[in-house]
Amino acid sequence: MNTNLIPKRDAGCVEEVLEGEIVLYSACSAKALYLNESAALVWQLIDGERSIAQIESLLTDAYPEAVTLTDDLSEAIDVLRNHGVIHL
Amino acid sequence: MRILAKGWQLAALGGNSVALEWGDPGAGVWVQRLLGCHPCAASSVPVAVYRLHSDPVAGGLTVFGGADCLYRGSDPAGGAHLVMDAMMHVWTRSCRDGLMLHAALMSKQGRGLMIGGASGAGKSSLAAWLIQQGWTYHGDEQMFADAGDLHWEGFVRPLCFKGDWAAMFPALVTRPESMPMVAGQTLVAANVFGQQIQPQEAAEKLVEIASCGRGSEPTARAISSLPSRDRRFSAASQASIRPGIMLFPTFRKGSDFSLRRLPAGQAAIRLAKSILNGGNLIHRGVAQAAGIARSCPGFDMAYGDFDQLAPLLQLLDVSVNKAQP
Repeated sequence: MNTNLIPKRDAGCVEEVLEGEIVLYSACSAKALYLNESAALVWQLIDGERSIAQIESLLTDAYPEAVTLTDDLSEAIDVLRNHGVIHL
Repeated sequence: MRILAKGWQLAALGGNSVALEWGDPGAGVWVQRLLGCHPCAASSVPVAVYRLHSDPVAGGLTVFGGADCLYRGSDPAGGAHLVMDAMMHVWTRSCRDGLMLHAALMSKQGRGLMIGGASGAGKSSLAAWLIQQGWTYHGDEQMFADAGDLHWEGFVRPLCFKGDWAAMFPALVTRPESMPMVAGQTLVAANVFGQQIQPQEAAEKLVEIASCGRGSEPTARAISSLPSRDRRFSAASQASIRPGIMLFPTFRKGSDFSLRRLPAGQAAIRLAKSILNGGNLIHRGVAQAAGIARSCPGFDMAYGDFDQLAPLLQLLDVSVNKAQP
């Protein structure tokens, strides 16, 4: 994955926050997507300005003990993109 | 006992009513079988009208939806099933305020238990088992959840068991051989109506039911006409059901038992998958599903035998008791 890419949220996406988790509804796919706390954190860091590398850096600073952070971030980005709630 | 030759009854779900008319006593018995336990609706203009006629000689049933003949055949249970499906479809199509859900609904002391899951997940059989544990039945297939004032209501139809499940609940299911109205007929192959009302009892109630929706106290009259062993089905369904617990069961023969609390987000997603009228709602009702999931705990349950369900009863009892003032 090119970590210089800047993920952007889909404009037709609606979010519902529940106890730290997020449920997204994508108008383009007409589907709902559940994000656990980790994925919800990634989603919240996607602001249309930060690159994937910058998001990874923020997460690394916040969770220095996390060993699978890069893989988890990559997986979360893939899931969000495949459901059409972000664009790269 | 006088049996009215013809009559009609309204049934509502989610604020929309459907009228069933019958043109002869035999068809009236089938209307009673379908709606005998569902609360009578207040007078209103129905969004759909279905008319049933029976053939006393051949034992068949004819069903009209408006001017269209929807069914004409020698299997009255098949025709009745078609009417139920049509009613649920109309309620779904007409519901634009609140969630119409593919779920069973039970209650205890006014507290609701929603049983979600896809067809075949075991909603009807679990509902039947809970009836035997003292819970009140409000439907095994479709319910309405108002996300605004948070009340639930169900379509109190006859229990429909798939496969061999009916044999597990002999006390709830009238065997086909004891149903004179359909003697010699083949019931719907994959379903057996779990009739809470014997045909002869249903016939005796036609006089009362016929006045339902027109009399000054239709609801009270309909309830009081029910046999005592059935009273809880209708009487409780008149009360407003407060949201309680959402349960998403999976039955697999021989499976180990597990019961776990779902994170609210997962419960919202499970609930959203049960929404039938999403096409009528903003964002397919996801926001409303999230609203319900915020206030109602959701549980995932796997089981392989009813003998494993003691922890479920404990959980439900705690929920009911905690909710009491």
